[in-house]
Amino acid sequence: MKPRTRLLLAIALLGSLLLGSLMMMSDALQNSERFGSIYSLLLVVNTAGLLFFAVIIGVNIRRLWRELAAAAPGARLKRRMTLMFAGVAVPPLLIVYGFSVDVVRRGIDNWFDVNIEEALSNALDLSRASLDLRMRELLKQTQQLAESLYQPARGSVRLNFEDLDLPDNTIVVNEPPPVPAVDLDELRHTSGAEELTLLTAKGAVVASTELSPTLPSETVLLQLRQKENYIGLDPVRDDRLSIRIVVNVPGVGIGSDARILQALYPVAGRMTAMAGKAEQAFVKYKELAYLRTQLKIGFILTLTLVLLFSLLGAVWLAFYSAENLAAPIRDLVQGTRAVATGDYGTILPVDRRDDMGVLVESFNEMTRRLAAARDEARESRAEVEAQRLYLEAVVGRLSTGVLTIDSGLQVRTANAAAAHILGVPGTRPGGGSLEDLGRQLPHTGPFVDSLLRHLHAGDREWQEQITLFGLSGRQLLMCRGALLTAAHEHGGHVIVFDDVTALVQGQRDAAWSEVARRLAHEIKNPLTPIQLAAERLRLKYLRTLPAAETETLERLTTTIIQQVETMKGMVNTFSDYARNPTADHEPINLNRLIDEVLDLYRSDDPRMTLAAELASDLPPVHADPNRLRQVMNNLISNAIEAQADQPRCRIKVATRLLREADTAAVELRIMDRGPGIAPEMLSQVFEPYVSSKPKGTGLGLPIVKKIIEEHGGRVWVENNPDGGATAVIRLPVSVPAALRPATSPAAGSARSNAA
Amino acid sequence: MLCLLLAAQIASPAHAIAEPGIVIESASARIEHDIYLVDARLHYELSDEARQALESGIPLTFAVEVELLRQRPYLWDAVVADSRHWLRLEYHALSRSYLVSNLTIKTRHSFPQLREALEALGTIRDMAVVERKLLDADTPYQARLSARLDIESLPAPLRPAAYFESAWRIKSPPYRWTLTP
Repeated sequence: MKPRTRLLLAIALLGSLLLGSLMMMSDALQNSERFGSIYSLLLVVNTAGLLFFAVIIGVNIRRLWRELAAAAPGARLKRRMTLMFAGVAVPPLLIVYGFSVDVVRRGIDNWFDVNIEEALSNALDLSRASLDLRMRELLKQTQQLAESLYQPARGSVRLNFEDLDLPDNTIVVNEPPPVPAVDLDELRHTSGAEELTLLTAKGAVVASTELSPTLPSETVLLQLRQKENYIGLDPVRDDRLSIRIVVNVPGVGIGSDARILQALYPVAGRMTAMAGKAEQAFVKYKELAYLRTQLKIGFILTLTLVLLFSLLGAVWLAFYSAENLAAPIRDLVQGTRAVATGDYGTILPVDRRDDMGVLVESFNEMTRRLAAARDEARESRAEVEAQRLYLEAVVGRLSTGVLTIDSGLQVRTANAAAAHILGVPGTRPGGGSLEDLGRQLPHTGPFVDSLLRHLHAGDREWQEQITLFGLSGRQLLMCRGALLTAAHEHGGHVIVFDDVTALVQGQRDAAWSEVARRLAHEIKNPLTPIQLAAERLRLKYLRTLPAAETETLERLTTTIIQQVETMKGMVNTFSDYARNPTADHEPINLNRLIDEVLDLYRSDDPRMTLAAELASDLPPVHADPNRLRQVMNNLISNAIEAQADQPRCRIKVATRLLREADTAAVELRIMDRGPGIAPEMLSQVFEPYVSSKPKGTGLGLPIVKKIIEEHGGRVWVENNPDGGATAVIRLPVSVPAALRPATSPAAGSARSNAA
Repeated sequence: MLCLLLAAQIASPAHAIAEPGIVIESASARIEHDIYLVDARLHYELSDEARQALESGIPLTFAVEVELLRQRPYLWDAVVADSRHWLRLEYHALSRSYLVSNLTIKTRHSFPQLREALEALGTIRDMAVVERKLLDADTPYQARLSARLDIESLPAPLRPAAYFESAWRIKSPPYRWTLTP
């Protein structure tokens, strides 16, 4: 059984007990013999019961007060419902109570009426009067009896003293009065009396018809002594009325010796009954009249107890019902708050089958579903996260740079390879706009510009090859971009790019090498027979020909031989060009190498001016010194040849350190005062066999370019604003990406291609 | 004439002077046929309310109690024996007399005047308490006599008031004396 049901049962039991005792109390007030004896107990029990009720209600009020103070959920609803229930129950009770009290008052007052009282009083008087008449007759008769007691003429009257059982205090008269002349028993028979007793004036029994006579009281004796007779009603014996008559016996003794006679006569049964009824009614009426106020108080007390009982019961029921209704609502409020804070584990108890129960059930269902939905969402989020991490890991391991850009041109994500290819410090260029990237890393300018162009043009898919000139040298990027569809969260673009510098260079180098090798082979093969044939021609015909023709032969064969030699040299140079680069790079001091090379060109020729402007803070450069020397020789020879037609030959060699972001490069400039290079030639001077010079192999600058590119550097030629041209070489101080041993797959593939 | 006499005596102011209550004037115990018997004289003085109720036909019941006590060191006295008489005083309207009944030993006497009735009520004679052989001869015993109006015998409506009003608190202080066996 639930505690609530148990409480309800206990209260119901207590209530019925109280109600029962109240009914008993009301019964007792109406002079009921049944409950009259426990009236006081009932009163105490009822008061205690009501006090108990009051305590319960007090506890309830206190609890409600606390809940209100703490703003507990449901408290205000409970208060309102309690007030409503109590408000419905209390006024009718008070009205009924007021009327009841009034009716009780009036009802009790109505019992009493002057007429009734008078009638009853008259009835009693009438009874008395009727008895009085009879009493007077009997008085006369008794007096006659008393007179006859001592008249001797009446035959043999004998008082038998031995038969009398006199009480201890009976005074035995020393001087006995004259013996009564008649027998009392006989007298009793003749007179019809119940009892006859002869006494002295002091009350001592002289003779009696009874063994224990009922003696007259002192007052009666006193009255007799004053020569008065006594007539009275005596209700002593068995609730029957008797008439007691006490008279002085005339002529016997004086003072204390005087004799008195007491006679008790029965009142006729009918008379007794009637008089008794009248008396009873009168007494009852008088008693009620006397108790009128107390009765009213008693009834009103009972009514008040009933009222209080009903009131307290109603109030308690109000509390009980309100609590009963508010409890599930309170649970719901608490449950809702719990759900609001994210706790979906709240399951409310369902202990009722009404609408409230259905509501609570629905709430529980709702929280169950919410919890299930949350778990599902959490699982799928974890799944997505796992997938994202997986993708990120895959993309992070790609050698291809992947960059995503949102519709606001902000870089959203970039993988490590992208950062590496673009030379972004750190590993992730994420965040920041595309323009910021271009500003921070100026060498990425072409890349950023190209991207912006495609983005602004709204190309859905594009592909472009972009060349960057970073501090680490020339970079060739193969970019592919695609518009992300709107289904993706932020829209925007994804750009995928590869650093194909090494690849392209390797391909070109391989192509040129192949061309050079074949050319050398094809050309070299007929040269030796030509040379040998020319020498044989000269030997055979020099001695046979006349002297005049000898000179001609000599000159012609010499020319052939010389030209073949020259051609051989050219083919050898070509072979050099085609030769695979060596990998014996070592850290070298560029300034010292320059000094060594310049020393070779210093001479006493007054036309010649060689100036060196070398920076002292140059870090060592990782390079092959012999190849670099060849570069220097080629460039300086070019500069000298360019000024061959001029009165003076001025060459200036300058080095300096360039620092940008976290990379550094060494710049070498070789300036001449020659005629400069035609602008249309500027972009082609490094192609093989492009030359403005009347002589030379046409491979000087291409070899320079090849060597510098092998070193990861850049070389270009520009015209000076004040005349002449400048060859500019930039060599990275750090090891170029393409030459870094086994750092990136791109570099590796480039090397294998080059090999 | 009798009526007049009674009326004069009822109306006599002499009753109203004394404080309502019961005074035990004397009490003694004696042994007869090996039984302790108590004789006592009590003076009853009714309050006006009580007298009025009596004359309105409400009987008044008094309890007269004798207790035999044995004193104990450090403890309250032990009650060895007790005896109680219920006495009823009522007014008989028809005969205009007062009846005194001893409900315990079933006797009844009628008195034309209240004074006499109260006197009879106050005369306790031969009230048996205990047999002597039940008592220890060497132990000193004390007797305690008390009398009071029994409120529970009043009609129910009167009882709540009677419990709280001093006019109905008619009782005697306990009267103690040492028994001499």
